Amino acid sequence: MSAEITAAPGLLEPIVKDVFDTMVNCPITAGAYAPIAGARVTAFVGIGGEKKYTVLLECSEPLACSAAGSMLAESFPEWSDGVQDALSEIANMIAGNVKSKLPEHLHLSLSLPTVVRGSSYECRTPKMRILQEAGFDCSGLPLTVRIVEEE
Amino acid sequence: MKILIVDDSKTMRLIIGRTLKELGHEIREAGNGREAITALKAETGWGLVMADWNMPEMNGLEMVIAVKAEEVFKPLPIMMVTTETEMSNIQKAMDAGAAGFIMKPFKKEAIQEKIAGLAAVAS
Repeated sequence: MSAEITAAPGLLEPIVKDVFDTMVNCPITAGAYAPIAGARVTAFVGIGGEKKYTVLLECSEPLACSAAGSMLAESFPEWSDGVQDALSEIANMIAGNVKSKLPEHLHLSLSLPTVVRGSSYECRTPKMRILQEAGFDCSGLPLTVRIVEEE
Repeated sequence: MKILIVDDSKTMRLIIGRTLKELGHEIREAGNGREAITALKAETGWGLVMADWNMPEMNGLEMVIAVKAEEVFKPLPIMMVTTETEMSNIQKAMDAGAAGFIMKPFKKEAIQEKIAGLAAVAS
């Protein structure tokens, strides 16, 4: 288990709240992990160096559209490149702030974001385990953020 | 002031651009360091470059090094807008000629303050 991250329990919650309060302009509240029904979206950002982590942000497609709209003060009634770009940037900011809490001697750097979208998929990476998972409620819709580490 | 925003995220270019326009600045955009250098050479009268760190093709640090290698751009301030907080990386960018950092997430007042700070140093 990663000593760096397990030594900082609750690492995700303040970071995710700060990003949503400051940049997305959409207050969120911490809550229990809740399954996401229907069309959903997962944004990934890798943090690699002496250790390898991935930050995953998962939400429904309607929440992704709503968050992008709130962030850019525009209307996104359906999935578009603009929604994908906004979600990528949200994941990038969360991952960057997670990286900032990890020791410099790990020489970590961020990957570019990847976004997966669909209604029936599972995210599985061999030899990766969940280090932290945080559930949130944003405008009544669930959002989950995870940090996973390569074993 | 004419400001070049360099970020691969259109979302960030929009957010930063709106803030700068509200502050009365003229903006141009580039999607990575390579595009930024092309944009800088295509026009004159630049007052500031605001650049992301993590970009495809040419990242922010590589861009600072390439821009500052050009004699004509040595006085041009470059502000990094990034989640990068690793001191060794910040030092590399400052050594290469970056004028400062804005950490993401940021409030628009942070951009206003940083630009005002740069203007005060320049005067």
